[in-house]
Amino acid sequence: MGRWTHSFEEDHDGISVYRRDDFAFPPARGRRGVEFRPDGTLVEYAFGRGDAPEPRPGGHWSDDGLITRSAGGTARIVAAEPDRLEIIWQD
Amino acid sequence: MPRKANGRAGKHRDDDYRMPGDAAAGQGANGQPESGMPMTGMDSAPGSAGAGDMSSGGAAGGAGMSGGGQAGGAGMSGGAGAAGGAGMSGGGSAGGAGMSGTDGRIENPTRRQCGVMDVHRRLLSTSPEYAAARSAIENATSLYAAGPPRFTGIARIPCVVHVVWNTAAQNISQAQIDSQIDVLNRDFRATNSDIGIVPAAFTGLIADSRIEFHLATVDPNGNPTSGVTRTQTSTASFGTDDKVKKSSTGGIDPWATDRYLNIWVCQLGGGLLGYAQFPGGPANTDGVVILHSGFGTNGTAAAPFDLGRTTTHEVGHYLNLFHIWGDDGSGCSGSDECADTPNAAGPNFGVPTFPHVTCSNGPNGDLFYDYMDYTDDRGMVMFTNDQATRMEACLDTVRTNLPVYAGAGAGTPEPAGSVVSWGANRLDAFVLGTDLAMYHKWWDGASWEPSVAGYEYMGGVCMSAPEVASWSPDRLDAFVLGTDHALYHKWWDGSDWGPSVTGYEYLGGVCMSPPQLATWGPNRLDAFVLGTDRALYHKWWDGSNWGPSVTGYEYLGGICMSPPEVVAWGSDRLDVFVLGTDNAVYHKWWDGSNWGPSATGYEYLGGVCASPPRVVAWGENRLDMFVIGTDSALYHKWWDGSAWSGWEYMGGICTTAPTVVSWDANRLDVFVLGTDSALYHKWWDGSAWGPSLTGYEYMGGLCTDEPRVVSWAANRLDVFVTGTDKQLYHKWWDGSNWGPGVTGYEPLGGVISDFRVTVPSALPESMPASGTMPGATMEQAVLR
Repeated sequence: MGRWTHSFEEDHDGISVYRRDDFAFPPARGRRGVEFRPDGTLVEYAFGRGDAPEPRPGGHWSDDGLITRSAGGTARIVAAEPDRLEIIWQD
Repeated sequence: MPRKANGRAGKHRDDDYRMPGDAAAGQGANGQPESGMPMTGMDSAPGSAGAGDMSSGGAAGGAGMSGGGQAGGAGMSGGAGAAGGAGMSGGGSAGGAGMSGTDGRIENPTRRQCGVMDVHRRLLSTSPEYAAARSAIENATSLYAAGPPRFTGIARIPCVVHVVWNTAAQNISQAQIDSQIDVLNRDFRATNSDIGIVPAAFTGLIADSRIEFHLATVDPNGNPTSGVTRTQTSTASFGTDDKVKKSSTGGIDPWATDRYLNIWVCQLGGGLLGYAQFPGGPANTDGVVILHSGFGTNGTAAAPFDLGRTTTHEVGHYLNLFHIWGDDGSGCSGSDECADTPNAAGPNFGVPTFPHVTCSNGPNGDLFYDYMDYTDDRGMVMFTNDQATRMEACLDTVRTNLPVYAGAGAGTPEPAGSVVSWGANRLDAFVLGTDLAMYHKWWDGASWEPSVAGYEYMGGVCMSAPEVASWSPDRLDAFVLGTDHALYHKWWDGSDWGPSVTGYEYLGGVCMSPPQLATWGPNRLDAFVLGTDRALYHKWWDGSNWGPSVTGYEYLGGICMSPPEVVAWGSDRLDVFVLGTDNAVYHKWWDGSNWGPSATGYEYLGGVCASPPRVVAWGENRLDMFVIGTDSALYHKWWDGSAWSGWEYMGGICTTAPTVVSWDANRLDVFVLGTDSALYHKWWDGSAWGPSLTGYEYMGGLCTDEPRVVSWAANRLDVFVTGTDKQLYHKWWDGSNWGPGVTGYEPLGGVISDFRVTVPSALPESMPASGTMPGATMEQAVLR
């Protein structure tokens, strides 16, 4: 649940790593993110036109960790800790 | 390049191209050689030793022109005599010393802030108004880009840096701020030293956007400022919710966002380097926000974002540039609306290796060297031509209130005169009534105020036509001589006249020429007059004080036979021209640190002139001078940045000094009156004189004084003359036609005593003892 920001520096083995907003991210031109909403919808944060992360409808997620993307394709949450999330995007 | 505005050749008979009484085209009255003015036995050898000194001493003693002790005396009081009757005659002037006013300056009110705040992009989907504004901006940008270029000078954007700090380290140094301004100026002018990394395939796309940045020198209240605010906050880090832009949410409110580029520098969370608001968004959140450690090149700036490029990138957004990949994720359908940037899939990071081919954009691939990509600071080094055009369009169609030009139109400061324009579609005309009081009328973009034929009474009893300078939008500084030949000043600060509508500030001196003003930057004024010794004197407003003192003057030597002509072609630059006793032109200049050729010396420029020189600058380090020769023909001489030309013969039989204006680089428009008192016009279109080198366009009228011409935009001219009925008349060039007709004029009312230049013809009886000013005979006082 909640909003996670891509900690791409920690990506490994095809796995994308996400952190909470209070994580000490190194500066970067842009970071994508995801937000898991209680109603099961997924919001993706893309690089905004003015560099502020820009929310877009991303699809749906379920309790078993499966993400169904509205743009097509799926993803799976492979690890979830309070301050760290790992996702494998398949598309 | 500017295009020929008045391509009338071929539509008129050849006779139309000559002034009445002109000799056959191309033949001068005296048959003089092309580069020679008519000489009357004078040695015109330029640069001869000793010729640089026009001064014959005498006046060198006192630097002060101040007449001393006269401030409260005769003044310029209009007295009862001015109360004559209706029309333009006004009542008594301000009480007491008449035009003598206080030194106090009235502060501008802070601009009202309004609107709601939100993040830029969210607005696009939630605010129909914002979406509509963005759509309108894009349409205007497209139309603009398709049209002729508007400005060819340098746009200089005043910036305010708001340092919002939580820890001491975040309270970045002035040096770090200065380093960022330096980076902006290099990057936007394509003078950055790392531009060489661009491969040959892309070098043709590199653009100089001709936009510069400077820390504001005047705050929204009109007071001097460093252009930096510092605010301590309890907020450990800010997000993209714009809380840093409000004092009530831990940040600091912006300065009037239509007049300043607001740059907030703070700790940002989430690893964000910065974000920007596009033009068209809410006023109270307009500007850019930058992470302190991505700002500038020293202090807390940290690699790989320590070359100041984050701010370059965000200011690109602020000036309506999109990301170079088109903001469509990783697809190939998005566009940045710039045709010269290759279609690219998504952002590039780090420092890529050339080429990086996406979206079938081979062989050269993505233009990842562009500031609007996402590479590290050392990887982004350029804007493209189309990006420069978009930014230019933004300044000229959306962010139009930014005082990027000292006046309007060209990139050089707005010349002073009796009619000035402080912005697009804005005119302010000042005249003297028959009561010698000052009167004012203005065009506000829709109508003449206070009415077509009406004038605002501004008091005084003036011995010279108003000379008005404008150093920023909605700012006017008017200067006249009083009956005591002292200099008097009043100013419009955007909301009020200072020291009062009819009052004047006393600035001392006993002046034998009308004051000539120049302004080379915000809150800067330079006034030049001749003293009774006919030497040149100078005083200046530096933003907080008059130099050398309120009533004092700087002695600049010379024995001058014409009022000074003053031009500022750039910041901290002045060029002054006068006629010497030999009626040749003499020149001196301020280069930012010294007077050239010396404090009291002059450069000899030759000629035997029958009119004061008139000079205009259409660009940096460019001067075009026009005079009337003793054969009444027009002559032209120019400084090209490295050398003076000879005198170019331009024909005509002129009865007034030429009036010259430039609305674009390499564009000149010259107006004179002919022997039939009609107005005549000729123009330089960048490659040739129209209607011909020695021909003139006939513009009708029966004019009683030399024309005054201003331009508030490219390809726009407004011409003002007085008629035989003493009314003010107006005509204008709108880019394709003369209004109300080639030979027609719009009457603007008034009973004008002298529109352009009233030269004191006699010294006042109550003239104080000579004091520090050498005396002058009555004859010497007549200067024209």
